Amino acid sequence: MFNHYIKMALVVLWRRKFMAFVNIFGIVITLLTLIVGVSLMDASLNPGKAARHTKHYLVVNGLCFKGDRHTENGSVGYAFYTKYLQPLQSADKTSFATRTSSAVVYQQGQKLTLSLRRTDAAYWQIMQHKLLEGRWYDQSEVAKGQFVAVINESTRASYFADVDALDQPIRINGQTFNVIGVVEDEPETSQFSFSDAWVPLTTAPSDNYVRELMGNGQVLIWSDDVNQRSKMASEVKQVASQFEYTPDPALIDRALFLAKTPLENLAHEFLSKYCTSDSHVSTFIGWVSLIAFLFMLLPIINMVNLNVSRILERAPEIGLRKATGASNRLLVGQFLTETLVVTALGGLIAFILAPLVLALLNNTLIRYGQLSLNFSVLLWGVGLILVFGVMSGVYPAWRMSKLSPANALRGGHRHV
Amino acid sequence: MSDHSNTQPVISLKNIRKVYYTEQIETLALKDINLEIHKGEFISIMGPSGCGKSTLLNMLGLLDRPTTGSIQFEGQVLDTLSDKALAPLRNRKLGFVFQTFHLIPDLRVVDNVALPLLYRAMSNKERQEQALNALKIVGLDARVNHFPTQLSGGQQQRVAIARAIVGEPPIILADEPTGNLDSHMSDEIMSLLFDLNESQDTTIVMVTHDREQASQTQRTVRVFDGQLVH
Repeated sequence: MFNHYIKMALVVLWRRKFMAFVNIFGIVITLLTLIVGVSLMDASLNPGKAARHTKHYLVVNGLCFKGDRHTENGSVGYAFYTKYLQPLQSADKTSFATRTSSAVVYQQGQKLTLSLRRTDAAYWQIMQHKLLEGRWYDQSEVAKGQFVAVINESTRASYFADVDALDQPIRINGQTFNVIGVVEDEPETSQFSFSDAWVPLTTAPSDNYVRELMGNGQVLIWSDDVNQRSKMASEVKQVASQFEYTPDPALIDRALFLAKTPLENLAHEFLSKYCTSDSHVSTFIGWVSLIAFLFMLLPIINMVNLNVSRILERAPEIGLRKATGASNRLLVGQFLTETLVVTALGGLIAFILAPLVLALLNNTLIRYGQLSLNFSVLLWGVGLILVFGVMSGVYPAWRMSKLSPANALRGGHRHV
Repeated sequence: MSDHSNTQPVISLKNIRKVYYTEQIETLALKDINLEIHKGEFISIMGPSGCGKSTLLNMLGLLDRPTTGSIQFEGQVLDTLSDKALAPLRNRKLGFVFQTFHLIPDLRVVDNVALPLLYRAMSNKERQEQALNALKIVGLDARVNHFPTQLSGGQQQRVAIARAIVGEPPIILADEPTGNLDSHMSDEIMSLLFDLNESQDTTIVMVTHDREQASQTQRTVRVFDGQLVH
């Protein structure tokens, strides 16, 4: 029976080549876009390389101060980190690093723009970058504010060309650093590990950051035991409840922040939730599902229309099948299978094209991009194909099942 | 010609009324139809175009439901039966032959014939064997791998008859089976139907416009303006 369904699906496709092309083209474009979307989400949720140990760490990056008549939100400042997050009991390691900022370097009169991140020494123990040569800076170098830098392999190639980079000076934003290490490129989608150059926090042009409660930082908290991660999250919540805004307790009475998993972090960024201590994961999932649904809706409506006209065109065949003993259930199965075969064909083409599109994104829009069609993206893609196929096949199949055999044999004209 | 009137009817229509509704008009297609079909009968239904012959045949073939009235099949009242329950009845008890053949153009002759068997729990091999036997009966076993469009009208109708008999149903309903054929082909089809009726005791109900064909059947039912005319 199933073989017959598949055969009929292919036969019908072949009979209506242009319609099949339009149908499959729409499916390919939709699924390709969704696969790219899923791949981007996957890159944020499961960053590989240096940030790969996502089960061990949480991040506190957003911070919001609230009072009755005053709200302030931004990133974590160093003073806030040292007072509230560095002393966490449940964390085995904590690290403070700035977000990346744009920096300018000159190489033989040419202006290069780099991403620069200032970090403490613990950063290298949590983000485990692959060293290609040299070493990372340590606690003593950070404490002394030594002008040392770790750069990535692309910066080495563009700044030093064929010359050995180690122990060479590199002038960034007017400060001269000595290169002590070269690490593998980290993709831009990996929010916490990405940069072109890393220098000690203490080399900042001014020490104002030391006094900032709200600044430009992100805090990573690490537990050696993955099962302890939730404990860290709870302790951070407890710390938040004990917050006291020392400069003016009357102005601000609470701080909202959260130790976030990659999913929670993505949810906050997607929903632009900067002033919250809730995870918002379910809202995020709801929105993403809604967007995916709406994105699929237009091609689904198109496919439903095509399928309905195809079914009416095949009304005599449906009538004949009913007359020869096919139940509505069997016919619904047949038409759903036919739709799924078309969708699967479109999905297959989308899967073949997806690596090319992802490679294009990796080489153009996303610096050091690592987007790929990995197993989880593949699994999501298959799920989307199924959802797409079922959604676009159910209504036409239901319409078909409502035709009486006699009516269908007459060509499906509307008689009741 | 045998007398069937003493046997229990295989299909019985009681006070059947069928009204078609479209957006603007209401059409009375059948009115107060009472009809019994007995096992082994060969009945023809005659009447002018649009009088309700095909609608009547659709009622007998469980392809349509009456607006009011009752249909009994082998003594079982079908009024409340679902589509799920009617489907196996159509599959095992009834075979259909249509004026326009209704062959699926993309399927080979043998696959067209095997279609009713697809809805039975049978292996593909069994289906193909049984379809081949049916094609032998109608004399088309040399055309199994052809497609319908490669056959003449008469051959296509023979394929349709093979499809109707492949599942060995006790009743065959034919809606103007020779309507699209020339006289020579029509004779061939009619002899096939007579042969089935005589050799296998298959009950046959045939809608026709042809008086001569009707005169050869055991009973003729005349329909006029949706009513039986006696």
